[in-house]
Amino acid sequence: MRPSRIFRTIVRLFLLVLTLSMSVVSFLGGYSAILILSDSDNISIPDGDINYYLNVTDPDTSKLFLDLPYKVRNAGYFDLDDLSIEVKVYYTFHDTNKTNNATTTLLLAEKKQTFDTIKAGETDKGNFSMKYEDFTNLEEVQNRSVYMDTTKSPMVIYTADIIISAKYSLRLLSFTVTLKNITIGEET
Amino acid sequence: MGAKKNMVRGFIFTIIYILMTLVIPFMTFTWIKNLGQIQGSEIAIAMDESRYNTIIFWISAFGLIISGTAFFAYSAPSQSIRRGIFALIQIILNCLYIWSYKFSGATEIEFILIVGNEQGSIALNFADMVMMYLGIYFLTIILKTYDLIDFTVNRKKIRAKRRGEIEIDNARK
Repeated sequence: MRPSRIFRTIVRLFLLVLTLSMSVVSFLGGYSAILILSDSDNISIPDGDINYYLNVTDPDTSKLFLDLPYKVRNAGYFDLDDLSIEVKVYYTFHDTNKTNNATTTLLLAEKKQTFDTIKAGETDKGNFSMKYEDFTNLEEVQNRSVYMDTTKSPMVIYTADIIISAKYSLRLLSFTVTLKNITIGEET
Repeated sequence: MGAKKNMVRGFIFTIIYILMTLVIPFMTFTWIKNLGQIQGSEIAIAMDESRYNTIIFWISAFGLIISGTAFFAYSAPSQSIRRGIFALIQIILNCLYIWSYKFSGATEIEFILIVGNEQGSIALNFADMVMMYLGIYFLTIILKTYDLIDFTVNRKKIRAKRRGEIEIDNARK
């Protein structure tokens, strides 16, 4: 056999192993993504009651907080890397400054938190906590809330957008789950 | 190998490539598009129709060209310059096919998510995986270029060997 043929055979075998392993990783990654996303119990946010104190009219603003329980179960074959949860809290009220007292929605707080790698088959359960320092838009909300129509019930509706993102399959596949307009609570 | 055998091999590989580059991706994306309500949950997901059409268009376009060139590559005699040229063209087309997944939006699939009364989205991004495959294809391009040079430089040796094999076959008959 010519040396060139031996070299070719070695490179071909190497490419075959590389392609096969990539195909296995792709298949298992895709299958795992289906396993994780098809069961709503795997990524459960909020996982239970949301505890909060969001009364922006209270002069003691250090009391403001929001605790969002979460549960992420890695039902797939690979580790879940770079998991992050981002929460944006909105403040909605009937605005006397608008025609027909139409509603105004203002961003009240936002926070992004990253978590440790969740190994395959493991579950991470905890609390996503927002404190006073995360209420970045507090001043504007306080200034605008003077136009609140207090005759309406509920006076204020607290809603949230939740964005969960992570990397999978040796960090080759990334996914983002966005949940919009989730009602946290109301103020009557 | 005789001309008839080469033709049969060409047809077989064309069918394999049609299955791999057209039928399987088409079925996969159609299945993803029609996922709908996930069994035993309140979650329903849907894929944007226009995005699905774009993905299918590019997959069909490149899939057809690759399947066509597969016939010429695999029906050519083993270690021939023709085989080398078509194999190289085919691997470059394969790179474009893989790249079409990226520019058609197939690597960044976004589903509309409906959980009870709430709406959201699920976005899957496997562009890094496609880049990894392109890396493997780049190594294959090097190999095919080497093949082509080798077939051209050793043309006389390969032909003599092939003639010898034909003569042995004829003697046996």
